Formats: sequence, C-alpha cells, structure tokens
Amino acid sequence: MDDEEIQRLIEEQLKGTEFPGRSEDKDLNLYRLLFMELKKEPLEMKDIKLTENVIGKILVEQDRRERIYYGLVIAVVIILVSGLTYFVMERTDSVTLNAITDFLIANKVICFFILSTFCLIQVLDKYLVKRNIPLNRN
Amino acid sequence: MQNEEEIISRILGGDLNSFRLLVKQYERLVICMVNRVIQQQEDEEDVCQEVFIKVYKNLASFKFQSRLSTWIAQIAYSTALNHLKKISGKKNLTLDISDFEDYHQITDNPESILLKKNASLFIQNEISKLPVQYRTVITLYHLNEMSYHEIEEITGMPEGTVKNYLFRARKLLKDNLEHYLK
Repeated sequence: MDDEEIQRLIEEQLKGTEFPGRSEDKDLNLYRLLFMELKKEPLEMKDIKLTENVIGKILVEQDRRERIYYGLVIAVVIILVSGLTYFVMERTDSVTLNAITDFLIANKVICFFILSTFCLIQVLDKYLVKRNIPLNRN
Repeated sequence: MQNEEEIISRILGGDLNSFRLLVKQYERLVICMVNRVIQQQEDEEDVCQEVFIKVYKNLASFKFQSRLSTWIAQIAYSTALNHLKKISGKKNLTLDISDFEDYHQITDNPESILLKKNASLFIQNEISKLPVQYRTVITLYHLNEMSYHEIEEITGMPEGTVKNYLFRARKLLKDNLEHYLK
C-alpha cells in the first residue's frame, strides 16, 4: 500500500470509531502512531484562564462607552439649555425678565439645593447603583 | 445544555453570564488554534482574548449558516494569522509552503537526542516546524475534528487544497517519525 492508501484506510477505520490495530506493515504502524499523537493537544499549551479576563475587558469597554455617552448627553443638554435660555431671553420683555431674575435671586438657596440634589442623585446612581447591578442584565 | 440560538439571543440581550458559558465551551478550540498558528506563548493569551472580544462584538452578525464552532474557529484563524503576519513582517504567508518541500531530515544534535526519549514530544515538535497552513489543517482536522468542508469555511482554502495539505503534512511527519524511530 502507498501512503495515500494507508492514510485513507486509517481514516475510514477511525470513522468507524475503531482504531486500527498493529499490523506487519511498517508504514501502517507509523501512521497509526502518528494519527494517535495528532489527536493530542500541543504539549506546551499554557493553561490560560480566558473567561474572567475577557469578561473584564468587555466590562471596561462598556464602561468607557457609557462614559462617552454620558459626556455627550451632558454636552447636548448644556447646549440646549443655553440655546433655550438665550431664545427665551430674546423674546421676553424686560419686566418679566426682571421678575424671573428677582425670583431666582430671592430663592437662590432653594434653587441651588434642587440643582445640586439632582446632580448628586445622578452621580450616586451611576457610581453606586449601576455598578452593583449583576452581570445578567435581562 | 442550552442550544446555541438561545445562548446567543441571551448574550445579545446583554447577559454576560451566557457569554461566560460560551467562552468556557469554546476556549480549548481557540487556544489550540492560536497556539498552533502563532507558536509564541507570550502572545497566546492576548490573541485568544482578542478572538473572544471579536466574537462578542460581532455575534449579531452570526446568521446560523454554519456551526458556531466553525464561525469562532474562523475568527480565531484570521486573528492568529494576522498576528503572525504582523510579527513576522510578511504580508503573505502562503509562500512558505513551496520553500518547505525540501523538508529537512532529523540530525542527531543534542536536542533531537533528548526528543528521542518521547515520541509525543517529537511529533509535537515536528508539527511546530511545519508551515502555518499545514499546522492549521492538521489541528482543525485531527484535534478539533472538523470536516473538510468546515476547514474550507474557516481557512478559505478550497477543499482539494485542504486534503492535499493534510496528506502532505501527515506524510512529512510520518517520514520524520520513521527516521526518528530507527
């Protein structure tokens, strides 16, 4: 038998889940040994713990994307609020504008408290609550 | 075990625990492929991680036209090959097969004498000397038990070429094994 025939014979025997036994044919025995060894994993293969590292990288990437998203949202909100304020001030008469300004100045502590509480809730929500959400987000 | 479709839909819904299961299920396939292609232990882990991150990012594009293992092996093969090209500085790695036909015979240097003590070690060492295409088809066919058609899908080589490389790789290994066992 030539090499091609021997390789085909062993493959067919392997498909029948029966490993070919030893024979008188030297080449057949060599191929038999070779086929057995080829089924083994590389010896120098490192015992890599992939799972946690991969999940960690994905979480870091998600966190980075979230930060970019929040940054963009904040920028858009600032631009919209500034534009809206300018638009309202342009179209409001000076008496009403003065009344609004007086109201804000008179209640500056309350206004500051409302604004800072809102910001604080957003920060706490992002850093304390969302970080403790389990990985299963369904 | 949950079916692939269910696992994938969960991952796409943001369930990282399902992705963790998927990584565990296919990590041996990826590690073996990457190990045989790049043969650089220090880069092995980084490349394997890169493969699974690509799998995660591109999972939505998997359309169940092949087995998930074939698709993952395809990503592992192309990622490892690109890494090999980058570190070797070669754009095309197919040339090394024609250079390889006058494959060396074993010389009795101290290293080969040591290897003689262990046939397994010898064969693994000889596999590592084969061109990357031979190493890939040998690994996919024998270790990962992929069919010729699946190897064609993974590597992009025509089925005839896969069969031819497999035959030639095994013959080269057998010839050297014969010399080694004398």
